Amino acid sequence: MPEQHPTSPVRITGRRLRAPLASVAAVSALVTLAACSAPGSGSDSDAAANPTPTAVNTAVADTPAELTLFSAAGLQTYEQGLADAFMAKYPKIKVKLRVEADNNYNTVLPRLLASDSTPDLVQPYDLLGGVKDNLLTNLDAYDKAYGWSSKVPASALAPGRVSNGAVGGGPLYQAGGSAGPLVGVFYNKELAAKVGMKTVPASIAELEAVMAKAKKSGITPIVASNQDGLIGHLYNLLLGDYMGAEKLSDIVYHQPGANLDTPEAVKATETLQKWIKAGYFASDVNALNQEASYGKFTGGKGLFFFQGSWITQTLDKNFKGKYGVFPMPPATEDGPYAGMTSNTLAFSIAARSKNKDAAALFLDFLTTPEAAKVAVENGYAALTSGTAARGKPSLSGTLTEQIQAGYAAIAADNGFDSWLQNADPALNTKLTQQLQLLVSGNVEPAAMVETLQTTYADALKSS
Amino acid sequence: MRSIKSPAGATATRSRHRLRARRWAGWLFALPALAFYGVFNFYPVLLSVQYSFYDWDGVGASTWVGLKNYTQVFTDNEQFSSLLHAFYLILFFTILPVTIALITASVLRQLQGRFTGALARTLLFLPQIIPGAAAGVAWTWMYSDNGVVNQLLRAIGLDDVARPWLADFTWALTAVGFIGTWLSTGLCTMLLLAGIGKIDNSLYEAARIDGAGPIRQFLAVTLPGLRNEIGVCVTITIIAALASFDVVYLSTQGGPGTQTMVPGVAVYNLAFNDARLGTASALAVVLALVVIAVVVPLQRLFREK
Repeated sequence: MPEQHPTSPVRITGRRLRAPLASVAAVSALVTLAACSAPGSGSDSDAAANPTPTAVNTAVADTPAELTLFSAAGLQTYEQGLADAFMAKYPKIKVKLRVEADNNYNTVLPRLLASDSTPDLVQPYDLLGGVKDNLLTNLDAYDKAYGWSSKVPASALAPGRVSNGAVGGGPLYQAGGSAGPLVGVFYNKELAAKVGMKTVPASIAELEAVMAKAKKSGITPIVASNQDGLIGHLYNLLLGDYMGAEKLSDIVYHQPGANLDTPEAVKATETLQKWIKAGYFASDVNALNQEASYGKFTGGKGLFFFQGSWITQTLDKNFKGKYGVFPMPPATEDGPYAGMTSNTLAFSIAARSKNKDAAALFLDFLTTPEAAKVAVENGYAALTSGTAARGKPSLSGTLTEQIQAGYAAIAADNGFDSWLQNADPALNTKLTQQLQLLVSGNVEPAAMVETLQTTYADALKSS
Repeated sequence: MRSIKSPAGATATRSRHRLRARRWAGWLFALPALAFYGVFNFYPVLLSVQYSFYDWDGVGASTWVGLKNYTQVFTDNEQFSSLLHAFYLILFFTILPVTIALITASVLRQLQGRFTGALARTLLFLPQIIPGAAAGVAWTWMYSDNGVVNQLLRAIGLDDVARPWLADFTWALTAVGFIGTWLSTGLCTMLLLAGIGKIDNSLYEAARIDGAGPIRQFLAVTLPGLRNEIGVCVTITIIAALASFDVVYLSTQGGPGTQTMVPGVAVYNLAFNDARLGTASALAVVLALVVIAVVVPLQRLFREK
């Protein structure tokens, strides 16, 4: 805080001091500018980093080692669970968590990976950037040794493959099992009963009807936080519904020719605008952050909460049993389900990790039913864990059953996509701003979509 | 020549030598501090200047782009408007606090030494010991839809005025500004109070005998006597306004939209969220130059003649 350091402005510098100081400054400025090369040019010649190991060893279970897993605070319980299960199976290898606040995780990650004290196991959002900067390990040799490609569904590994600046194919950089969050519509059971919601809304129109009813009876239809741009979850669900999961994923994964500025994206944006104008959000949603929105939802201050099932780790502490979830309804009845997910059972290995072989054993552990069980216990859905009958999405059943059913419904329609802002860090900042503008009525849908496309195109150009 | 050198001349040369030696000895003592200053202040500044000419994501390879990042600062509407917002904040971080502090300090002068005076000084200084980050969080609650600010407004019948202040497009920056006012007023009051204590009491007596009332005394004695302290207040708070980060980052993160975006937050976003270290450095360099351009003339203005 600047105003707490009342360092009196430098005024004492008399003439006698000024001349030598100035010359010292000028000389060192010249020396520095002349001596140092372009920033970032040193890291390429770094011997510590080996992004593409070829000789790999899978017989490491009995070699003592210590792995560091870089965890985000919101996922700490889950990732500690994974670490504990792994250590129970391989007692010689210790896995320690290094925890960072959720919103700092991706901010500090690139610098950590480039540092001398890099964690071994990480989950970067910006896989493309990490690969471009040689920060992540090419896992193809391990894949061959452990046979992941034949054990794990191809769709679960595809988001971990990178080639030519696009995600989806090529060498493997993120691997493990297959489990992910259901991002969908969480609802307050008591309020849902009050507005008479008896079945899972089967289309956007039916969802709108429920929200209109709630609004009429004085219940805020949607809890959200938008100081941090988290209306983005809902917006992304709408984009997936109207554009189709594949078109949306193409943008996130930098597939050639992918384009956001389409009538479908505008339609999705208009739908969100319509809900804003209808007063379905609290008036101060632009000033709320995620923690505050958790408080509002568990405090019964709204009916729906468009979020991912990772929130169960937080919400269950004092709201267990009082809420449920169903997948985002399709745009039209009987249309395909779509929703974001990410493979929470897949990790990357830092290129500078000194324990790559042990870290790869951890990735192999993630393909086992033990790991899938930990994921399910923490609110994630795993398609590979057991084949218990998965019903259609319904308002009855336990939360875990609802999550599994919702996830299965999206999987059945091949409807998994990703978050638009994962396409590029700059798009993340821009999207938050544009969503705040939309909420406050300062941007029209067509202009918003155009701005986002421009940011995306600029990012592609510079990457 | 050597043999007939006068003793006086020898002494003069020797003492000049000694003088020069003493001057360099002074530098020797300052060396550790200078080294720290060089490594932790000066060198990073130079690095920022260097980065500002590159396109760099902070980790990988970089490309030289010349002045492109600087043209962007002035042509990118978002970055340029953040500079304008910083100037608007001067109204709340500097002008309001200094005005309020001048009034309170003059009033408190009368109470000096008494219990009420000590109490008033403590209360006024309290915001100063609360970190700006904590203040930012606390004020988001007070400004929220059902927060204290709106409760007060509704209590006195101003229901139409009540609004979620930090989410309001028109008022967010002003609302953030008032957090700054709240933070700076205490510091300014303390500084000015200390200054008033140094003013010779006989000046006030003389003014009173000449028939000057409290306002006349304030204008003729207090104000000129505080010239130095006002200068310090203005300088510190203007730097705080132009280079603000913590309060804005924790209360709004620059939102809604970019309504409260200030250079400090923009630099952070560009560097750490968007991975555009070159543009971030260019904006930071421009900000530093703006601060210098504003503060140096002020220094001259407030310097005692």
